[in-house]
Amino acid sequence: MDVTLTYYGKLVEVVGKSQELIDVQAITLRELVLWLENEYPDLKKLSLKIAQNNAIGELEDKITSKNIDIFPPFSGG
Amino acid sequence: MKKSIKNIFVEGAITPEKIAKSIAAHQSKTGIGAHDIFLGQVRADEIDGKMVQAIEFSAQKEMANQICHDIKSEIFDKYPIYCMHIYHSIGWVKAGEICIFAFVSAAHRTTVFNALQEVVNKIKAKVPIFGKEIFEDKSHQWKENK
Repeated sequence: MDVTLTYYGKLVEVVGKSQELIDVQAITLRELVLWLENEYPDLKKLSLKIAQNNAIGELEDKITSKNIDIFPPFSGG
Repeated sequence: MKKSIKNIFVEGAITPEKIAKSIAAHQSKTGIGAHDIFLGQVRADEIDGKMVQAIEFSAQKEMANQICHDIKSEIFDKYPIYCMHIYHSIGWVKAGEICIFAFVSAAHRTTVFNALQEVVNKIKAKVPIFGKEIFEDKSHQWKENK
């Protein structure tokens, strides 16, 4: 399945890009996180949040969108 | 009536003039007896001997606006407030300038004290905004909320 990942904040520096189109077998967000940690081991040190359809997802959630946002901890305000 | 999703983002610093105008715009709403305002200001923290000169904010704007809309709905459901406004900077804000402005109005003070605290805590915890602290020598580190 083709999915576009968009990285934010510090993650842009950690992975070296702000967006990428990937073809993964992941069904759930947990599987996507495993793919990310395998691809970019430095991400293991960070507490990631994953969002699809403009809402933060749980690891058990199925991937339902072709656009997924990968966030580091929020630091607004 | 379902309210439309508003854009919370202001390019650069939030000016004292914008805050003053926002207060003035409520003078016609005479059911209001109490306003409470939170203003977040960029601190010139010293980290490893270097001073923070500015914070550059980025965000997933569409989601940030949606989450702020949801926060407003929750607060309106929980507290008897008249109105609420949330503004956050995007881009570059220098030390000493304002980067967040949250404004809650109600008939009585207790309502606005409680509601505003909850609003600001929710913004910090739930809204996808990211601050990059820029030092005087142009190096940077990513801000972490306490």
